[in-house]
Amino acid sequence: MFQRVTLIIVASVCTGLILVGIFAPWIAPHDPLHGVLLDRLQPPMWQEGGTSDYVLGTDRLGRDILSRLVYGARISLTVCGLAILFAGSIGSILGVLSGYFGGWWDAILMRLVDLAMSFPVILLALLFGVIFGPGFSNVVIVVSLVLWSQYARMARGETLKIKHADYVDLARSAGCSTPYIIARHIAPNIAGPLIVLATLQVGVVIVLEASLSFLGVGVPPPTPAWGSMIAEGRSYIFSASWIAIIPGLAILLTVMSINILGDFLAERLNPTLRRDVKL
Amino acid sequence: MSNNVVTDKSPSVSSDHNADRLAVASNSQREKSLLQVKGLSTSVGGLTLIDDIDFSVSLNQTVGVVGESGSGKSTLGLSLLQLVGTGRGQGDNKVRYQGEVMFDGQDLLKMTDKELRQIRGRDISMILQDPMTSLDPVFSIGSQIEEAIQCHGQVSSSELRERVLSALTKVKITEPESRISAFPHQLSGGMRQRVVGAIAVSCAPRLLIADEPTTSLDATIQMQFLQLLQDIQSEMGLSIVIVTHDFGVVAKMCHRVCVMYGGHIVESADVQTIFKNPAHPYTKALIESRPKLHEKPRRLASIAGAPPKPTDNIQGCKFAARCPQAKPECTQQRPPAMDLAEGHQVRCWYPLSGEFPENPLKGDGNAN
Amino acid sequence: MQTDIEPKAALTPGNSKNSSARVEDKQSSHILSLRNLNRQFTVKQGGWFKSSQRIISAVTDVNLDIGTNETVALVGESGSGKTTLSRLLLMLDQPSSGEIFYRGKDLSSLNAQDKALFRREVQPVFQNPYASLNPRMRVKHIVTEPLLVSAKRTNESLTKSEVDARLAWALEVTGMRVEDGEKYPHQFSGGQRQRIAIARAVACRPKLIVLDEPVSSQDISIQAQILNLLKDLQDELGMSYLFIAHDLATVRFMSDRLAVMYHGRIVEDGNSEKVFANPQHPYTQALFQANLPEQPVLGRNAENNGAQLDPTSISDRDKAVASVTDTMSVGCHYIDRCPRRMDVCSRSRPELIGQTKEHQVACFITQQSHEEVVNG
Repeated sequence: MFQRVTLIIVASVCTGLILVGIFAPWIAPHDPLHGVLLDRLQPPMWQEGGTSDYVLGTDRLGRDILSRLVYGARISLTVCGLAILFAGSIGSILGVLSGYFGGWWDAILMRLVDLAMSFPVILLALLFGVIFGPGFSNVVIVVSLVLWSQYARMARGETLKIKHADYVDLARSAGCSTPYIIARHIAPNIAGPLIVLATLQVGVVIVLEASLSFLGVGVPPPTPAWGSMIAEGRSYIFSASWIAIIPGLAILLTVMSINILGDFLAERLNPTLRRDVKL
Repeated sequence: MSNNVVTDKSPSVSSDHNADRLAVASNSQREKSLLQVKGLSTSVGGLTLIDDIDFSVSLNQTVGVVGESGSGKSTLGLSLLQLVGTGRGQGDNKVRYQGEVMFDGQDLLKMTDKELRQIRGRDISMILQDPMTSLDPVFSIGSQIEEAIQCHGQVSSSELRERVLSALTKVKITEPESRISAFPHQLSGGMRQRVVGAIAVSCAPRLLIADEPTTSLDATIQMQFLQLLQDIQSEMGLSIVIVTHDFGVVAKMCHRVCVMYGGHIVESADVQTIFKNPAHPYTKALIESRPKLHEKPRRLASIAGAPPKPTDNIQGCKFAARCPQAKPECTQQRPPAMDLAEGHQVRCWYPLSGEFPENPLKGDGNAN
Repeated sequence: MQTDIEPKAALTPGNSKNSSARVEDKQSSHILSLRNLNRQFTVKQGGWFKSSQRIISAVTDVNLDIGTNETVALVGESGSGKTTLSRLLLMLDQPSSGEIFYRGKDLSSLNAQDKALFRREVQPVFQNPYASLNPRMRVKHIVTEPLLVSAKRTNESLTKSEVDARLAWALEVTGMRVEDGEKYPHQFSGGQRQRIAIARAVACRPKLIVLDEPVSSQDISIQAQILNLLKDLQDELGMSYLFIAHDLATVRFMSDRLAVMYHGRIVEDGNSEKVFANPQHPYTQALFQANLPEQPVLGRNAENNGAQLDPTSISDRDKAVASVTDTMSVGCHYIDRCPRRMDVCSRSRPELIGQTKEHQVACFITQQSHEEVVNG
């Protein structure tokens, strides 16, 4: 019962977020980029001095935080979607091939994975920021470079586990070609854990994007991104704390919801966890 | 053959058959029973895995629990020590035990966890199917046996070593001194299962529950291990409950047999009766469907269909759907455990050896 | 090859003349012959900084013939190499040396088209139907997969209705319903899954099915069903079986010939009636002794029915396990466990020979007694 309620809450938060991202222009009450300097540093409406005109208050340039948050969701979700799509597909394909064929190809790939996993994320991000300059595509590239190795590693492990499964051997002995075996027998059976990993990484990507924006190598201002909003609010943390806290809460809520959803998905997609009674 | 048995001791079936069973039980008390299970039911998360189990184990006796997967035989073995589904007993999957498990005059189901832990391993110990997973790969076999001994009281280190050695000797491991420091992966499957046996007998238990102890072993090793269990039994005087799917193991080991189907004991009797004169159609069909070493029939007798799952909701007799002689009534009402003869219980409305004069399904059942 | 896609509604009794034809067929033709087959594996043994390599011989000098419509049983303990052997003849693995002849043709010299034909005509059924059916595929795709693949490889055109007809036929002869084709494996019980696995094999109208312990993971009440089904299919469709098993009683029911494997070698091979009547090799005898009794043992402790146990036999077994890898030894592989070993056993290795092809044994004791019979 409790689980079901959690699931419903979490799922509606996630759908809500996606809808907000898609319909941002219609939802946002103000222009996120243009501020009214006269209204700068307005507190949220429930605080003293707040007005219902700016529900979540305004920042130092008088821009509506709610609007920026709504547009920021759009940016953050796009970064998430693209980065996970790139990292996931490239990582999974490399991992499956590496696990299935083994040999020197596998050895090289795994050392690359080790390299990607041991390289400090922030340093990598700064490096790319310096080379390409801050920007939306920069964020997507950096995040993909950081994340692909996890998919590769997991896809490889799952492939190794089932590449000698009886049904794969049967397919081989029936004369099926290797691309057919990978597409028909391997891929569908390792998809579950990879999908779960992708869900869990949504949270990671949002936090990463926020950190990059915070460091100034992410999405450049004035484009609203949750991370850069926090960065901007940093200097007002004592006088106008809401500027940093509100996007911070948004990140917290989103990441938590998606992680919980990922856990549910993991349980649903894994038949061994789904089975309630073991005999 | 068994007709005279039936007339000798008129079997009784009635709504209060429980009382009759108690009477029979006290009759056979001459043979002192070590374990007596009455009306044991185990359910996990509202799903009943075993239901209304009655059986007893006498001193020095080997009782076989035979059944297919899903029949509840392993659950029965684990329920005796309340070890069903340990570790995931929270939430909806709460394990509930009902009934009575009398061990040496005490009801195990009424004990506290602490008292139960004292019984486990010391008075009642278990051997599980897979010796690979029953042993911890990172500890030497010596320290694993020591651990089992130390769980039940402090022993001096010299005595400890002596008891470890004697446990290893009991399971006929040669050169036990050199084996003490060996790790599980250094031993063969048969040896590993012997070590599991050594752990089980290290505290001189009075009852040993062996759950498919030889299923993962090769034929020659299986025979050695079963022989070893018998030797230990005659040496130490312990009772054994052996859970198995293999009638060969039963034929080799057991004095008494309980045949399980769909969570019930459908027939229980001494081993000779089970093999020569089975009363339940299921027992008979199972025994007949075994291929024989010295016969080559054109076809094997076989039972159609598949065994029921615990999730199946079956109203009448659980075997009715596969039973060659099922009558329409069989699917309506579930047969209770009825006494065919002393020490021979069966759950069937139309048992193969002898019939119940008071079968309530025949219309004259209200006579009593 | 057989190209009739003609579906049969069910097994027709008209086919039963096959079984009378079987007897003559047996001697005349071998569908599969193994000649001096070897398969060795290199195992790396690692310390921290240096590793050494050892060669393990899983299959050694195996010669075996499988006749048309014949069931050859391969018996042995775990680690005896029977599964490796089955993988070799399913072309899932390459022999280190030796040849496999399928209907007179060496497998290693087959062209792509012949290979595809071979893969259609030799079908495997594995032990565990929970592992051998892809959980993400519908039954109809599982059953028709080998058929479609081989048709593609041999450039044979199969219409959809032909494939559907073959699917329906295969499901029907294995006791499943046609509607079951739409379902997924997890919707079936273990016995039904094994029927699906058999349907997949049968759908290709194979000449030989390699059955690797097909019933040992099944429930006892299901085993007899599956064994009967296999026998019926063989009688009706006329095919050979290589039946890999460890249970002698099951083997007795199924087999025409029996080959006993020990540590990668065949130690006894013969007509199964003859071997069962008179097992010759000490290992075969040990297997027979280890067979569990069929009737309850009376007065169990007085009369020691079954394997005689001397306390040393346990450590002997361990020695035997250790020597699996010892490819350098010159003597008989069974010497460590053999109760009747002689001096000659440690000096040279007995060959698999017999007075007739009907019963061959690799043991000096039986060979000696044969010579005595011949000489005087």
